Amino acid sequence: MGRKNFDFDIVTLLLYLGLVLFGWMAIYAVTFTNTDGALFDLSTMHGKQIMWVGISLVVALVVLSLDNRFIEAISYFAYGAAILMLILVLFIGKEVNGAKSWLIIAGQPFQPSEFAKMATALALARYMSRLNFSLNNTSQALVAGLLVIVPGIIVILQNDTGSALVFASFLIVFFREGLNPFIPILILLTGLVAVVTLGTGKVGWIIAIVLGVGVLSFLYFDNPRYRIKIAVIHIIAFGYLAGLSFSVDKIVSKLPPHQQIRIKILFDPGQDPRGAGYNVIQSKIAIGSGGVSGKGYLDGNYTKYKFVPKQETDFIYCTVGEEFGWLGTSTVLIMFFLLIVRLLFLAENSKTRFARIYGYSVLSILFFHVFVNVGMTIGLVPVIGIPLPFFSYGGSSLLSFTVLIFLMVNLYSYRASVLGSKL
Amino acid sequence: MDNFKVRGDIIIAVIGLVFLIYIGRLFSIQVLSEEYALRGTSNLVTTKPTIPPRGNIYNRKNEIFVDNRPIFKMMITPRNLYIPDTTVLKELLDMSQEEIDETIQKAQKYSTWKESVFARYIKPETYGALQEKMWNFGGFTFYPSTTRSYRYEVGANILGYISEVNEREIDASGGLYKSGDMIGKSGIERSHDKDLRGKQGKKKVLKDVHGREVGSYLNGKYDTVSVKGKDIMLGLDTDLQRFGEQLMWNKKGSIVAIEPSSGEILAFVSAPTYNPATLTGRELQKNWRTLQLDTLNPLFNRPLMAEYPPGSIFKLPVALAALNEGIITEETIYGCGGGFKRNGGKPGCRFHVTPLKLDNAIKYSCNSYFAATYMDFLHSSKFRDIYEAYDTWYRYMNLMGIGRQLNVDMPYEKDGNLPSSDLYDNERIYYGKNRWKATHIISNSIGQGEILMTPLQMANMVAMIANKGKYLPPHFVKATKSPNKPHWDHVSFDTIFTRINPIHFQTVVDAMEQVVASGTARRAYMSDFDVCGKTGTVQNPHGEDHAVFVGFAPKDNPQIAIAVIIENAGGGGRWAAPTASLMIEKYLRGEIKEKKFEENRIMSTNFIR
Repeated sequence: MGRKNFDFDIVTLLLYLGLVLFGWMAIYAVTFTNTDGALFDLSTMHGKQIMWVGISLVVALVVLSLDNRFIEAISYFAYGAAILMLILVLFIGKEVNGAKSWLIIAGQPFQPSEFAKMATALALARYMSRLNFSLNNTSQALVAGLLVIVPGIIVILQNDTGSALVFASFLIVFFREGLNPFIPILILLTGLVAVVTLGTGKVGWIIAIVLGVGVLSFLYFDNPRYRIKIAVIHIIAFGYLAGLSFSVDKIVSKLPPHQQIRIKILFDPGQDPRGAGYNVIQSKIAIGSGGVSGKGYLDGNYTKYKFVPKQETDFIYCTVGEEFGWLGTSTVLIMFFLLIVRLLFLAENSKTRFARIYGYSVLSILFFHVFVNVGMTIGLVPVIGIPLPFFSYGGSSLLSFTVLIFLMVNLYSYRASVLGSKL
Repeated sequence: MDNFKVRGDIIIAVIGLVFLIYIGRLFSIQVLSEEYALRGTSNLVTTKPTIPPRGNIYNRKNEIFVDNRPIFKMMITPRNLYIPDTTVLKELLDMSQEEIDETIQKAQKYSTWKESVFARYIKPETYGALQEKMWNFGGFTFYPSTTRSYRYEVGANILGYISEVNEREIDASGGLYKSGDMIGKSGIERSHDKDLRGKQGKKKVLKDVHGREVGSYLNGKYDTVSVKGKDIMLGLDTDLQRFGEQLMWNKKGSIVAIEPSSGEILAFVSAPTYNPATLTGRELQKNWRTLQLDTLNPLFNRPLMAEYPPGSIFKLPVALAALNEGIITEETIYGCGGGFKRNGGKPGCRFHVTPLKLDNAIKYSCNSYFAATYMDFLHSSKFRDIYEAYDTWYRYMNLMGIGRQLNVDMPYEKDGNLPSSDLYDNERIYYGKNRWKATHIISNSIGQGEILMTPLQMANMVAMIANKGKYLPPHFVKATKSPNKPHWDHVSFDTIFTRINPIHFQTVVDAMEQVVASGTARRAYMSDFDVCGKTGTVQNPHGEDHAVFVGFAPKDNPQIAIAVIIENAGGGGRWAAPTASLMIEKYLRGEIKEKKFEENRIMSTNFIR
């Protein structure tokens, strides 16, 4: 089926280009030296990144030219290929920073987990857009869950916890598609209780608050028909949360040491200022030294002189903070937010359920990356090594987000061509 | 159909909330909190001092005496170190392989990334040669610096030397000096350090995570320039100083010459001395230790710190106090029978005319006459008791600059000794309250008792006599000049009056003229210049007596007052008086004409045995 009317979403394209440009400027600011010659010099990081931007734009065009049915049709193949590649990496992968998650293809390093995110999004969209699909159907819900969990577990086996956690973002998709809100709420509460308990150490207060919220919600959902069932669920849920607040310390102490310290420094970066806390302290200093409007582009000496480790990849946001200040960091966040809102708009206004679910997957992945990456640079989230989309140096990440987003743009462009029939 | 559309709004609301929290958190880190910005700056920016050149020192003829010459400091960065051949370093820097290894190891221990000193005080010639030969070396950097250069290699005891500050000096300076700063350690370099050092500038430099410097901060917006130290002009006559040092070769002792009308110190010889350039450059520490261990103690600034019983020259202030107090007049006659009869012949005296008046008493240096004067002073009926008398006498001495510091602009000045009546009241050491009379302390009258004077005090005393009862505090620095100012700012001093009536000086000065013309200081006589003086002999229980002479010239318009002490040279007339006359001739005439034979005789005599 050809496109009757090519509904190309220029807003997404502009936001995409804006972020890519901003991102490249940040990479240039971190990696340039006064001795550099031309901008497009492949021996420099910013030169290489220009190349990746170029490749991404070409790939974006290719993605836009694809037929939507073709995309839907290859979903499972892509998923299968992704799983195979992930398994392959377990055996012949290259280890970088302790994670065995890289394949060398034609001399270029490539991270199959990036591809797996996209493939999972496609497969999930395909499966959940089946005519009679419902998350209330236990076996269907189980299959949908496994589609996400299987690649997640393999990535964990690669020792790349950061990338694996990204798969948790599909929870947003499930929520949108009718998952009982009880589950995401419980997960949110789990996180909240754990964080507050670890942060304050005041177990008694946490229990009081948890129980208080429990009683209030019980009153709110008071429905005579299910009173006993709801009461049991509430007792279990809030018992679990109260227990968690007692035992979260012990649970943390069972984690591998490097993860334990990452959680500890979240609450007290001063605890290990020369070790794991160093990144967070230096990152906060770099961002904090930017002030309202920053030190000016290319004048971010704190990042330029390598005070912040991994500043061109995981901690690239520091450069934005130092050179453009609070106005810059807010602008970046607002641009991301607008892109997410726009993707949500595209998803909601697509005529197919496949496009909608895929769109939600894309925005969930994007949000999760921004949430974790920015959160860790400002000390709100433990240090988890996942890149900031469009900003962190590297081709894999840029390419994967380009394909993710332009597949959605492609699917949306068929808006006028599809009968508004599919649910 | 789609029952869950509302959930899209919930999702966007939650995501929006997260972004809002983040923006708020960023606001608190970036805008509200100053902590991060401050820490960022302190991690990133170091303030380095820029050291200005030290002020020059001029002599009284406005010629440069001390200035600075360029040297180079050689630094190493261990991480970048590449030495293809150590023989270049060994030969040009005169270092042994062990020294080289040790220095590099020390630097590595400090930091592999940061610079450490490898060699100091490298001369420009050596620097040139090093540059040429070290083209393929790595990790070496040269920094220009300056060190002292002496146009006249004299007056080491006056100038002092400069070296790095020590912990004690840093603590005492209240933040003025930092580790690594240079400071004057003695002499003028120390007393006028604050003028000479100038004002250090500040240069803010960026450093990277390893602490290496990577450039200036904000293009030097917050840098301050250094200001060169003030130049200072000494009253010192460098030719006279050199001549004095030559006269004092192979002798221990001092020469102090003062211009009476100004208090400016013309010469300040401490013998034995050393070349001031010895205490500069790479050998400073080694040379200093050598000088320190020298048994002749050349680092001891004798004119300022050596204290001697003044001997017969002390008869002059004793006479002046008695005259002013009316105890004696110019006509008062005492007898002398080879000793002070009223005290059983003590102190003893040589044979001379007797009885005699004050003029002859000075001319023949009659011990009996001054003992009698002193006794009559202390037991005079005009005083209530001996305490009132002694304290009056004490005040006169004090006013004449005896027994107290003259506050010369040089550190470590000694105040000599003038015992107070309290001291004599001390039973354990002396006599006890009301248990002493003039006879107990009669040797004070001839400068032999507990009285001690420094050569500077002796010269100042005779300058005071030349000025007929007043003097200006003796000082070295007569003027200072701020950089880029055309004129010298002259240092002003208040005249100190001794309250002795000028008319009393006539007899004393006339007698001093006679001392030189036909008395004990005949060797100081010159036909062209009217020299007035007084010899003294400092009894030395450890060996040959010390020779002392104080004097001034010309009599009617005194331009130079001088004190000479030569240790172990015997009587003052034979060695100290001619030395003083040579200095006077040199200063007044500019050359030695009349006393050529004395010059040769003195320069070739060795009193260090």
